[in-house]
Amino acid sequence: MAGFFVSITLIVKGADDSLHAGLDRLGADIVVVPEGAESKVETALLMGKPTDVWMSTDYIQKIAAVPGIDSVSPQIYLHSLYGASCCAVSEMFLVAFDPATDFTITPWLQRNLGRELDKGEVIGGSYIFVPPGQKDIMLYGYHLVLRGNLEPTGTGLDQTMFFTSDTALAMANSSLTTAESPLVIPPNKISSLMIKVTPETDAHTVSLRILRDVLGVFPIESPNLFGEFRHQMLGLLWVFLIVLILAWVLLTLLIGLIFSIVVNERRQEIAVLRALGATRWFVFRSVLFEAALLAFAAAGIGVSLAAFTIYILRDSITNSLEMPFLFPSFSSIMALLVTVMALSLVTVTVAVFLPAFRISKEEPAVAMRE
Amino acid sequence: MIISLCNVTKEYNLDEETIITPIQNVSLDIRQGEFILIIGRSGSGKTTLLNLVAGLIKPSSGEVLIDNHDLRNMTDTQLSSLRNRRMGFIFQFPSLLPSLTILQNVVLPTTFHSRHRKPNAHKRAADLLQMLGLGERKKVYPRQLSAGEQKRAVIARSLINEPEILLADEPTSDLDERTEQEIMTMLRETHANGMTIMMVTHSTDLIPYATRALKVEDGGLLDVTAAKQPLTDAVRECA
Repeated sequence: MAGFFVSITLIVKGADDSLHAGLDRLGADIVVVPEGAESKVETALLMGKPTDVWMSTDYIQKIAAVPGIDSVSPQIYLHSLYGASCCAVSEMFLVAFDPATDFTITPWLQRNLGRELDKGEVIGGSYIFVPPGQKDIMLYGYHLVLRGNLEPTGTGLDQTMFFTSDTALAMANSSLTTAESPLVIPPNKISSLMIKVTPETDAHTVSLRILRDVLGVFPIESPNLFGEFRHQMLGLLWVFLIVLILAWVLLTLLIGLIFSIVVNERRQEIAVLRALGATRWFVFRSVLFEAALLAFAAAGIGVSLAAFTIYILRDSITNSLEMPFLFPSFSSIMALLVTVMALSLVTVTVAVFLPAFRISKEEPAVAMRE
Repeated sequence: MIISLCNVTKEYNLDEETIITPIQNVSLDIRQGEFILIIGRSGSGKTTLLNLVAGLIKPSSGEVLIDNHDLRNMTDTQLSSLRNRRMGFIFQFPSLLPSLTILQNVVLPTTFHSRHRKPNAHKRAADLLQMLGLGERKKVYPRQLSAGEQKRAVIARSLINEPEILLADEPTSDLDERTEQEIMTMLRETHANGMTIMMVTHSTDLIPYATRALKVEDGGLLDVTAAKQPLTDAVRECA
């Protein structure tokens, strides 16, 4: 039961942490996408599933003109060739950004690299690596130098490669002669716009202004990003919560029943203790203490096994459940461990209270006679 | 006098209509240093009498006094402490805890009341086991001992807190004749050291070991060492 509780909590917490890390990584208050492409972009950012969505570069000026907007940065979404020999994933999501306006990757570059990316250089999500035995990554026959990896987020951003728009254009040009099929970037097209609003402005107000003033695009406010997924997760969480409460009630009854049987089988033993001088209180707390020890041991094993299993299967969880997942931090797991231990203790105390009380009140001579 | 029963009656409700009265209006004084044997047929109420003296059951009416303290007026802690410090028990059934070694079983009664805990419990337990011939077997578990050895371990446990009264319920039942002799010899030696003993048995052969033998019959007590004089023929005026 403790293991089940921990598993569910770890998965939900892992997904939540992952979403937050992903949103922090994007760093945008609003993401503007072509109208009708909302779910495609969300899936791309959430699961790293490449997508082709395009809108005119004219929107950069139109959006920038909306009052309350501080920065606008375009991004181009591309994908690698299927079966590319570069990465842990077969088909990879590629994001080209404009270094002049970008606020998603550039702050990280300044902190970790101390400079901007040059043409031909890339930054990868945590899963991106240079294939063994090679000096760099080759995409569309174009050599890319991996300059670093971003911290894991558990989302599709971990399987995403970031480079400047210059690199994207160079790769597209090169692909005409070097790739099995060319990388096509439609002229004067972008995939999305990352928006930061001014500090005194509310993102929701700006979103409403974009909806009203700029036709053909859809603004997704950062808190609403991955909204469909969050909605599904919330539904799942409710189901788990109800199952958990039902299981907890049944388990409490079951533990109570088991301890009633155990205590009943040891009535004579307990009667001997009473005859030898044990008080009712001694008997009562001994039964509770024994139950608590068992609960601690069982919960400890359950929690450890669950945490270990979830850790080992974290990639499978992401793939099979199609959800983002970031394994929670050590301190979160410790807090969870303490919570589960406390919950186990409360459960066992509630369950065993009645049998312990009954046996402590029984006349020893009656138990001995039986 | 350390134990006094005054007009004690114990009734059991077997069901809504059937009430049995194994002990009816019994009065009895047990003086310090006596070796009282309680005899009678199975189901006559011998164990009930022993349990009343130990405070393990409450009388339906009457008083049980230990050193003039009425057991009815004692709290559970006081009664438990009294049993722990001043009484030793030998039960009819195998009463050693199977999960503890013999030494741990013997030490067990010293652990209940920390306020009255005596020092060197383990050493005293080891000495007692040595004295009773179980010195080499103190680290084994009860299931590894014979019935006679288990009884001897129980005697050691009953003596660990140096009680004033030893209450023994059929300590020689299910034992062969030789082991019975050994156990009775041990009890006689314990009595010779000043211990008050109240022992229940169905065997009249053991009467010679006692200073007084009482027979439980029809709810009352007969003194069989004094030509079957009834002890409870009249309601006694209790203090």
